[in-house]
Amino acid sequence: MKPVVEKLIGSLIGLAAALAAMALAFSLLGYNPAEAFRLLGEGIVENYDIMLLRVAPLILTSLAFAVPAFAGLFNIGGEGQAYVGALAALAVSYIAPNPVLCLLVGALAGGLLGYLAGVLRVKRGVHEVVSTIMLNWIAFYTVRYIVVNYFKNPYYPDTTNPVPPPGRLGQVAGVPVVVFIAIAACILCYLVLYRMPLGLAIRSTGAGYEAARRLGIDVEKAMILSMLLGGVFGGLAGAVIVIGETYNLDVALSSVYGVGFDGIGAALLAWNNPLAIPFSSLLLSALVAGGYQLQIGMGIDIHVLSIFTGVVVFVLGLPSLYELLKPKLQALRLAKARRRGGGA
Amino acid sequence: MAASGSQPLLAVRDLVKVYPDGTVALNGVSLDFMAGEVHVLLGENGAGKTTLARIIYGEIRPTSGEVIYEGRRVLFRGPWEAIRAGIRMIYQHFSLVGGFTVADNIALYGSRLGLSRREALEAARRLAEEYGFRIPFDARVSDLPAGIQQRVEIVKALLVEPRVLILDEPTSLVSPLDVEALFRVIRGLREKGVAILYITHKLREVGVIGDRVTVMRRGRVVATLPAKKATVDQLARLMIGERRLPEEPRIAAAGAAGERGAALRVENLRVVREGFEAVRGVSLEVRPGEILGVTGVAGNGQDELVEAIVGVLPVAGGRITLLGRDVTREPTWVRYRLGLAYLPGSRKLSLVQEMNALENLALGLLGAGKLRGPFIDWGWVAKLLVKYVEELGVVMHSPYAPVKHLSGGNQQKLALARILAVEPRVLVAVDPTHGLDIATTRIVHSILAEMRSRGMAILLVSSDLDEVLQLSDRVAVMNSGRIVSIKKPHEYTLEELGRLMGGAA
Repeated sequence: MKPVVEKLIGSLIGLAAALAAMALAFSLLGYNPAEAFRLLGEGIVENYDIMLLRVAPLILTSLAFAVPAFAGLFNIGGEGQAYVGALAALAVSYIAPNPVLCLLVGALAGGLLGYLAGVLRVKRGVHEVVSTIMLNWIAFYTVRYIVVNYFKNPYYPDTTNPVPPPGRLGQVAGVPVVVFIAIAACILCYLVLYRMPLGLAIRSTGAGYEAARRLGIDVEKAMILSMLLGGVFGGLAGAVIVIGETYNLDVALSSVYGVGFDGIGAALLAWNNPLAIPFSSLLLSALVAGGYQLQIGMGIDIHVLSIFTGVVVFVLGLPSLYELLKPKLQALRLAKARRRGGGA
Repeated sequence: MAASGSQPLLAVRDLVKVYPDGTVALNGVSLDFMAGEVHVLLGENGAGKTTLARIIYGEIRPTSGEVIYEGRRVLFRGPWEAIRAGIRMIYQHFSLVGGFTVADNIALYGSRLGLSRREALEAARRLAEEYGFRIPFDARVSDLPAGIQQRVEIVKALLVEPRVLILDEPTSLVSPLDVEALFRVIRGLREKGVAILYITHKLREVGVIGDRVTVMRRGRVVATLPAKKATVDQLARLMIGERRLPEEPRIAAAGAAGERGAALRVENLRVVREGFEAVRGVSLEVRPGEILGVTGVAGNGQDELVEAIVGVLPVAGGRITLLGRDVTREPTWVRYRLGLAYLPGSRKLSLVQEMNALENLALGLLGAGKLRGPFIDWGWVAKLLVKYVEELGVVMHSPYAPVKHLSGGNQQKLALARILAVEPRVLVAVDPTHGLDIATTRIVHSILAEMRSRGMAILLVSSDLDEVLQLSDRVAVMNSGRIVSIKKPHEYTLEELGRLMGGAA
């Protein structure tokens, strides 16, 4: 269909721009861009296991952004939802080392944080961008405080006690189990959004809030539930890191740090389409994996790679900017045509 | 035509304005406006008065035709060019920055006229004194009542003396005392030779303030008369036009149904919007199998009445009972679950424009609580859609394309399909045929009549007088937030309707 093609082209433009920006950054820093990209490719092949481990949480934080986006909400809180999800999963694993239970509680913890932001928006008019950014910091420092003071590993003081082995998820045929969980979450998301009444309500709220409420849709419930659902996926992202990847947290939360923001990039790159999100997430996690090789091979700071996500977000933000400007441009064209017509 | 001997200060020639949606707002209007004269533009809504004013003010461009000012053809690119040329307009809804103080607002406007803050405030104080306005310069505008805000607007417009002053429905939001003050200002300006365009739908005001009156109807000038000689009845007839009133009482479906009690009852309803009491104690009842028509000139509280009845606007006082249940504080979706349906006047609100026909139909079912989960049976929705597309003759390329690409008529048919599909017991419909062609209008009317005969209670709010008279069992006329009359259509005379709508009963 036509809109799909349009979106694909948009994504490719975003990608191209991001790659160009990276090339520019490499040469400005005095590196040979061709050599850098070659190393990056090598790194992706070499570190494909890292790529597969990073992709699961990234898919889930993408969903954390995408679901509320369908209701017209900007969930910047995937990051904070992931922190509390990670902590909750870790805490449960000490008491009852069952991976399913750990993931469920982690998801619930993230969901509660999302729900809170949703309720604040609907009942108190607090904009979700503001509340989720603040909740991110609250979550970050609270989780760190708990990790440092209560969960510290006496032998390795910069990390927590590990998840007991029965609570861990490993690999199936070389692929981490959490990747399958993340892909299942995408399918679930698709079903909710396009096959279930709740999804219809959520999408109508985002597509036309004023019309939807006049059609008898409970738009407030749709907004709150979309934030709850987004939070659930954010929390799950943190949980899969702890239960399926690192099996612990470090005191700087570095294994979770940034995953929520990268998820926004992956979601935008996929136009929030839950079935496209695994692919965009894979791409971004490949960059992370390849980045290690860049650092080793050429000494390029791995943070240069965040330029990529940044440019993707920026460029893919442009088409919506264009949507905003379109009626104005059209009016301008009409006026010009009229003037020409009037002159003739 | 121009008064003998003198040149008009401002004139328009053959103005045509077609809006992008195809609405013809002006259809060849030529008028003269003389210095030192109050020229009243009278007409129902949709007559084209405001469009004409906005073209003169440079806010919108005419599709064709010209504006001649001080003997030269002008085409202002925006209001600021018109303002610099000496033309001012005071809108019905004021254009003040609510969070600023009065002084800030005046300084801001003055800066655009090349006045320093001190100069602007000095001029404002002088004007306030001259007209006896008590204006609290340090108060925040949003804290002030409408009457004071209007005085600020007046002072703002007169900071540098204008040559032309346009007033759009200036008395619709303010009290009678404020109106007196306003009229004093207008008379003073007339003495000084300012040309004044006074837009109104209130018949009584014509003789009080006007020198000449031009009656407009559906984008055309119907007549221009000396204001003092025109009678209210004559103006009412000109404003409304020649139409046939229904001669006999229609077959009384409502008669038998009446005994079952009201499906929708509104008691002493008050609605306040942006500090203005738009609905001031409205009571009405709609019985099953009855169409109650509500008409009036736009902006007399109909929108607020409707949006309060459906639960979009909060209620300041009174009670709304839907099928025996008090829903005054319930959100819209709860009212839908009880059996309400709402057809808003704007197609942008009656369908989710970005979604497709299938999804919109499913939304209608969901709103009425008739879409069962956990999974939507899209095949069933598609079958329903096909049924209504055939029944109503919707022209549609694909059920998967956003409905925004459909024409207004097809959109309205889809909006009706989503209502027909759920069989509500009470329908609130606003301007259901606005902007539609004759064939589609007929279809919409027959659907409404059909719904009524199946026992639905319909509140039909429309500014199309013909439509209301033709379809309704009873007709209510709204003016200034009140219902001024409820009668059967054949009991009204044309003059009476015109007078009621013009607030001169």
